[in-house]
Amino acid sequence: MLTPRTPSLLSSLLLFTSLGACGDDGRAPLETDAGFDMQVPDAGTDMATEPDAGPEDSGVDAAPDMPPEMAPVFRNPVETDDETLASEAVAILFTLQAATATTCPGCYEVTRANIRRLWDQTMASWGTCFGDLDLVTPEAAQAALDCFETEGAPDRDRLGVFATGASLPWFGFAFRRALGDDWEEPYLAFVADVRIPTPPETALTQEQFDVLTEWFLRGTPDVERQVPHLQPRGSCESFADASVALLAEEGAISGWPARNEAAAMLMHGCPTPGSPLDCLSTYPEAADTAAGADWNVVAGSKTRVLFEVPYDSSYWTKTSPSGRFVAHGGGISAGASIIDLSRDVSVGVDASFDPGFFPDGSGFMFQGGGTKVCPTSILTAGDPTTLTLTEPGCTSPDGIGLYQHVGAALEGDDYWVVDSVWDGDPGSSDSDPSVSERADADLTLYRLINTGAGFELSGEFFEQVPFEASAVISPTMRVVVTQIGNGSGTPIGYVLRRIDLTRGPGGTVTNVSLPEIARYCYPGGKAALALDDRYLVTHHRATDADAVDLGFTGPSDPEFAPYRGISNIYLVDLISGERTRITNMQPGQRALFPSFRSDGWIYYLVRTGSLPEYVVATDAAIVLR
Amino acid sequence: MSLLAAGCAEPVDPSGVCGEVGSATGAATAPDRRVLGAAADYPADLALEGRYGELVRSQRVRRAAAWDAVAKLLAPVPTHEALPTADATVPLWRTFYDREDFGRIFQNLYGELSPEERLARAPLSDPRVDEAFLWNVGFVDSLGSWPETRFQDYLATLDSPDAVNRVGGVGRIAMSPAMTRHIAQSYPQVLDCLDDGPPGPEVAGVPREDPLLREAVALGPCSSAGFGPIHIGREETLRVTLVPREGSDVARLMVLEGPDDDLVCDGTRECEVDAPGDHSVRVVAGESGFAGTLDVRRSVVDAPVTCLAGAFPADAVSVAAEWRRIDPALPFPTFDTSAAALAELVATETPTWVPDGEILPGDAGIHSQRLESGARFVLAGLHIRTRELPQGFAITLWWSADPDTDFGADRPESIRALGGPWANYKMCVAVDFTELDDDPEGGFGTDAPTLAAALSAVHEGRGGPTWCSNPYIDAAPGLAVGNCVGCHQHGMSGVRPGEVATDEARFPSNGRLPARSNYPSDGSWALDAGDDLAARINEIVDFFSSP
Repeated sequence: MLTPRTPSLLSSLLLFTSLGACGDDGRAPLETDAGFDMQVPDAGTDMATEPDAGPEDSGVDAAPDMPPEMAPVFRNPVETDDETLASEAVAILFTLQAATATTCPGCYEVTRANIRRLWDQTMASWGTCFGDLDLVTPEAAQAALDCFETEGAPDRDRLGVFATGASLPWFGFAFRRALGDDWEEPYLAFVADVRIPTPPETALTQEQFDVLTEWFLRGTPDVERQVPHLQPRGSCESFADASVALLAEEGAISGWPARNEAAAMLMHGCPTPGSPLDCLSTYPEAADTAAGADWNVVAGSKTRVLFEVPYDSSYWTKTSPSGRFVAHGGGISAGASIIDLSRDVSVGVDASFDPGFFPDGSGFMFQGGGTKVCPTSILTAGDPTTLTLTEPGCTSPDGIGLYQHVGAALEGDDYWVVDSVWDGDPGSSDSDPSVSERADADLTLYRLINTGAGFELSGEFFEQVPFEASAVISPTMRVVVTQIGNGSGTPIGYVLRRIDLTRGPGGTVTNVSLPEIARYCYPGGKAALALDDRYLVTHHRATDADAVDLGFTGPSDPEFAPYRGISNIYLVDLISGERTRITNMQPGQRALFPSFRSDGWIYYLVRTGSLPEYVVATDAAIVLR
Repeated sequence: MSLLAAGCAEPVDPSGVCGEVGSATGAATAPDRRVLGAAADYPADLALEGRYGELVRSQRVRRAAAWDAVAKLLAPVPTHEALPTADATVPLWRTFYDREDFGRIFQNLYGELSPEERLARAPLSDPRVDEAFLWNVGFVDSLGSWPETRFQDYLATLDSPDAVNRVGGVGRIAMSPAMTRHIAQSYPQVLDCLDDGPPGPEVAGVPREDPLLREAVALGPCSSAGFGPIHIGREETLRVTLVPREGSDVARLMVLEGPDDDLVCDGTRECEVDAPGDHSVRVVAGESGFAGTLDVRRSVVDAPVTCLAGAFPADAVSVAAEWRRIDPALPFPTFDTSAAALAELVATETPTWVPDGEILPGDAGIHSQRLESGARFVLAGLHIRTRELPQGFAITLWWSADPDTDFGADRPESIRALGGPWANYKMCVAVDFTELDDDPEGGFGTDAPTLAAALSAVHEGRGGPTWCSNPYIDAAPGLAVGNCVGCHQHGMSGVRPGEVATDEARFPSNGRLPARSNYPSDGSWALDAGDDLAARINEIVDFFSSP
């Protein structure tokens, strides 16, 4: 289940709980020479207990033997529920948007992209500049002030959302503690430089600051409802909410890679558990092959050729989570095949296409003559040469459509199958598959309830997703990704939606919502997600728009012409939104159908226009992490 | 983790509409293994086999012994790690190893072998297995995803009995250390079986002869002497030889069987009996008396266990847990196991359990666990199979809303004393294919009449097949008339569990009768159904063999 607060954030909040006990009873606005409002601690309570710290004009007669002044409270923890907090915080953001409209037009416009940017800054500063809020010594205070600067000048971006509190007592205290009697002028300059909004606009109150910072430190929960990402059909603006990063953080410790490692899953070709970069080293590097000399493009990564496929494969190729098995339609003696890399053989399968492996390695699914689901043991017990998918343990469940995406539930939870409008992709076209853009498109999530001994279909939930198609659910069941088009069916981006489950007593799911938490504006085919929700990988056929990226001067470069329609593999970091091309196919070559194995290696298929086809692996996603 | 239809006892979706898709993950993960520590040994009753004759001919004795075994498996044992819940304990069987544990343990053992040792399929010594068990407990500490702080945070969440119960998850099969060890050490035989295919139903066993008695006999005129009882099991032969001393007349040699002393052999020098049962030998002298020697031997052909390194030891135990989700979409059924209901059930063509109602069991009344997602699972039943007896000691428990009647009417104080929900589970037991208790009421006619009546409803006469079936676990068609023993004989034989109860031609009496002379996996389905440990072994061996 998705939890918006990570352990580290919770720890931070606990820290604040204790700091809050230091007390902060009242604050009086202080008019300064700069003509804008500041807030300093009540002189009678918090300030001037340290003889050399209090400002001359603070009106405090400090007793020499009094204990040192304690830092004012930085922020007070807020107990409000996520939804209410989000509503209050976003309202504050809109006041900041209005207050900065003149001085910094657009800088603090309330958009998902801006909120995410501010969250990134906030978390970076929270872990560095605000690591010590007590500032017991001048050195500690000076370190904080230094942290607020870039190349010797105050830098608003170094403070993130905390810049909205620059006029609050804690900051003034930091300057006094660091600079002594000469604190005020630098402090006022600092406020003028970094505060949001810039003076003389009205500063946030401590209460507003508390609410706003609380929301950011919680990871901006409910932002998707408070600030809907509204874009007209055919356009795409990239953004990724904070919750994407939180999901990835959660996935790193509880996603399938961690789960499979704990179950001692044997990763194919890996001599040492937990060292994925050492894997598959016995396979030839693509660079040493005639066809693949130029395939590798990510510095420090390895691209290896795992298998030469002596037949024409059909539609999608998928890897098992261990990387031992690779499945696709097509074959020599049967309609489909499963390549056993451990035995270096292709096993004929009585199916047609669209394989899928459960992320825990327990089984797999194939289409053709109905859906067939089988345990992996039919592949691992003995040395099969053909499979009918009627072997012991295989079943033929109803209700699973083509292009299904299979998973297994983490820690005994339910399992979900997603269904949406989709377009086939046999891999033979010179262009990416089109996106069926329908105004009435919806996503259907089928709930397969974990009965304890298996799964039973028990209900379905719909969500309208106008003009989105080709939905793919992540192996963790935490997110679903769809594609959008330019209004004419040409794919222009991916929409990432979080699966939010509302549960009743006994863990029963009573509602499912799919808030959009990110949008990645790149063309391509159907997406595949990493088993820890960190990356998206896809293939994309080159168009004129790719000419420069492929190393040409532009689409009119005569050298570029034969590259139109080639297919490369692209990796999208879901946290940053950054896309990286991880292959460098040559004219006539297509890298297709990428999928992740549990440890982050990506397998894909390369077609060169003649046999053999190649099953290829790259560790680019591990290297780039 | 179980995928799709598995062992004999796997439930199936009778409608076949959706069946089972995916896998129900939730086994004892690495952190849970550290919480539990090394699995506790099952304290087997090593004298139980000596009472085999008594057990097969008395339902009452059999049930008492079964309750004793249940009490040992439900006995609370402390967790390895201290938990927030004061004096946190789990039932002993919850500490047993699951499929993930086995995979880690065997991987550690096999991975430590040298290439030469792997090629030679070298044995895995007991000390190495001991080390692997301990290594498995600490395995979580080697995972980057489980730093100590996270583990301590996890321990802090185990702050209620419900939470403690979820340690170990909803995995289905749990194996005692002895069973885990035996399967791991049998990997060469398992691989041979996978390479060569399953053995046929008839594999010649190795005969042996146990001398039971050799005694000088001196009888006066017309006097007699008796010897016994001597139990003869299935596939066993009793050979009695009476040799008169030189000059002595011969005597009458009789072999009697059962409580009514049915005469099964009548001779003067030799008797050979191969009918299972409790026998006695009587020597009757003629008018001139008799002097000589009586020699009694039992010929045994040990059923070959072709896919393991011999039969399991007595303390090898497997437990199959039937966890059921409590959810509005999955109403929790109740079953009537009274005499009337059973009589109606066994009369149907394909006896299959049908619920008689639904209920929402409260937390206190049923062993339950709540996952972190809030999903609640309850323990509907437990299949227990110990190896204290030749055909296995097959015991099954199921929850009941009416726990003190029929199969719960003789629940002993040892179970009640465990507290909690354990007094709400009923029990049946089978120790052999055939029923040798000729009392249909099993000896409960006086003090447990509802149990007596229920047993009568499923009693098919002395010599008929035994009965034992769990309504929650034995849900497949035909399995309402099962006995566990008949189904489990086919483990690792290539026969699938689903065939056994419904293929009357190959497996008469719903598969309850002996159908083969060898037990490839000594009655365990863990190797080729459910947990598929044979495939897991092969996968690990393949991994270390591949480049």
